[in-house]
Amino acid sequence: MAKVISIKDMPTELKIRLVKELGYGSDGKFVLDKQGKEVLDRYTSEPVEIENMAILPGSTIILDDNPLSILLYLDEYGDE
Amino acid sequence: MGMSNDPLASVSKGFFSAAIEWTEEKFRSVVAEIFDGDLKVVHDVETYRILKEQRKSPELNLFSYYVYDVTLCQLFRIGLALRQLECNVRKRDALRTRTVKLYGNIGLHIAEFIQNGFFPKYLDIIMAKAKTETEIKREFLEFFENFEKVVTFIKETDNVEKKANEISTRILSNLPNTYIIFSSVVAMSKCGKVKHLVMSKISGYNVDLYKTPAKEVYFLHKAE
Repeated sequence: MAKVISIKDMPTELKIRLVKELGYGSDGKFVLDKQGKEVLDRYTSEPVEIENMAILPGSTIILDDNPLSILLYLDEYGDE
Repeated sequence: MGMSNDPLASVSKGFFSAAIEWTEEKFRSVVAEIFDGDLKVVHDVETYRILKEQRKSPELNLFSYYVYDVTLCQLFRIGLALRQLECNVRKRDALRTRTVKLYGNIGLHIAEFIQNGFFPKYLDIIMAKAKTETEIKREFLEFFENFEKVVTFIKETDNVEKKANEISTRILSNLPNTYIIFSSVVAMSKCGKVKHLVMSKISGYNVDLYKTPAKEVYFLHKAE
């Protein structure tokens, strides 16, 4: 079962580095895709902010870390 | 902060919410674990834990047993989440707002029905009357499909007579198996008066009262 950690205290620059390692980008506020467009949360269609993102398994999904998106993610992918 | 070299060594029961000292080594280890699919990275570990644990709720299992509709099951889980986040106004309100955006006002009302703990009481009434599981399933579907027509929330500012007329007209024209009238604590006395007036205008219905310190709910159900 995958572990769950918080990156609340991770410095912003490191969060930006993290999304870049995963093939995304950032303008400092939002997570951007390869075309430089804002990544939208797959459930709420809200742009995902670096300071509130969740990175979850399932071809590495980046979501906005809010209860509704997490709830629907768990619905779709389970909690393994 | 004194941490071991492995940032994830102190992960307890799969969750780790303490601050991590973000050295290069730790950062690389997190990236590797994400690529391996062994790590979920969030900002709010506590909410993730609550939502994960919620999936084991007996109330949810019971609901899922009778209701196969995906959207209704999602709304049920949202209702449980609203209940669990009740003490965190900011998170709870954000969840309410997003629920309305995704499922409309009716979706929020169904989730609030669950949040308020009305489902087990409703289930009690249905189970006492139903003869087969199929009947229970059909009753649930009808109830939730017509939710806005069979549930009325009484506000402090409502006019008792007007509300009672509205509800009795709905009952007499649709003859639902169950009709629910409820209010929060501030309008409890008004809710009782509305129920009393409604019962004087209709026949063939029994009423059950379910009371909590914060809510008063009348379940009007068709007599056998």
